[in-house]
Amino acid sequence: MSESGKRKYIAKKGISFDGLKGKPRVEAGGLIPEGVPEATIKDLLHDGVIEEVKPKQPKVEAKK
Amino acid sequence: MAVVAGNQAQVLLGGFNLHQFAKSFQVMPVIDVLDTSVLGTTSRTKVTGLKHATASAEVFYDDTATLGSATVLRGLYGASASVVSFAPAGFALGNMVAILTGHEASFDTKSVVSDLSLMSLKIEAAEDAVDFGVSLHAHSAETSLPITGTGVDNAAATANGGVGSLHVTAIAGGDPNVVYKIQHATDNSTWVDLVTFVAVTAPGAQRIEVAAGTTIRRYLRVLASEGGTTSSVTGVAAFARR
Repeated sequence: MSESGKRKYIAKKGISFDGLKGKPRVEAGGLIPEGVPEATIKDLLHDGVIEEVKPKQPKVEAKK
Repeated sequence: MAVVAGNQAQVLLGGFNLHQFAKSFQVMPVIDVLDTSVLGTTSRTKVTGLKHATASAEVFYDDTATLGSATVLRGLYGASASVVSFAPAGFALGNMVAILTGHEASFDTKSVVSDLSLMSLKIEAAEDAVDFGVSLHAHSAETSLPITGTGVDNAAATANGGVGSLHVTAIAGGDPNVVYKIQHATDNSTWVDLVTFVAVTAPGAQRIEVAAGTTIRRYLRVLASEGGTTSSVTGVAAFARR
């Protein structure tokens, strides 16, 4: 989960976060780690490097 | 004036260290200049047309099996295009590198009684003329992986893609395998993969284009990771913005 509250983001390309403790690296398809500054998230979203994980909508069945 | 002595130049041809045999090397970018002059004008008008590039070298003749200059150049005769990277000031981090992919058009061999036997090599670009970029890793051996290169600051982002090149002139180990990537960053801190080369298991070269219209961020660096058991690897990566 990023710093943006409860939003989660997935990497679309490999990313190395040298500014975070431990310098984590995320491969494409991996979750963006916590602690990434909001400005960086916006920048990565803008360039299509990450995308937000949309929460699954519950299935609603029509009443018979 | 920051002049550069000619003896600093380095050139790699398809993963082969050509500068250890070359007396000289030059790259010649050219462009068609087409006449648009019409009746009534008093001076010619011109527009530019197609770009092209050639390269040439004077190379000492060495027929040593596998690694001699003559053996290598004979092997390129009629072969598919080779990646050429030429650094007039050497491949130190941030230095200019000319990158082209070209066919060996000719390699004349000449022997003169009063001199060493020489070959005159000519290369013609197979496509894209020549690109000018920066070196992201010097031509030196690394014995510890992963390799995280130092970022090269190109002052600003660009918006039209580019081309990355990789030459590996030596690799050793029980099961040598290294994966090179070129990454870019806005802030020299969050690095996004830009180019991923095919895993290297033997000396060779690769050239990968990044599509026109792609944003290339301000900073560039190389990343190399272990994919097997590698004791040493000598590689040069470079990237040219378009």
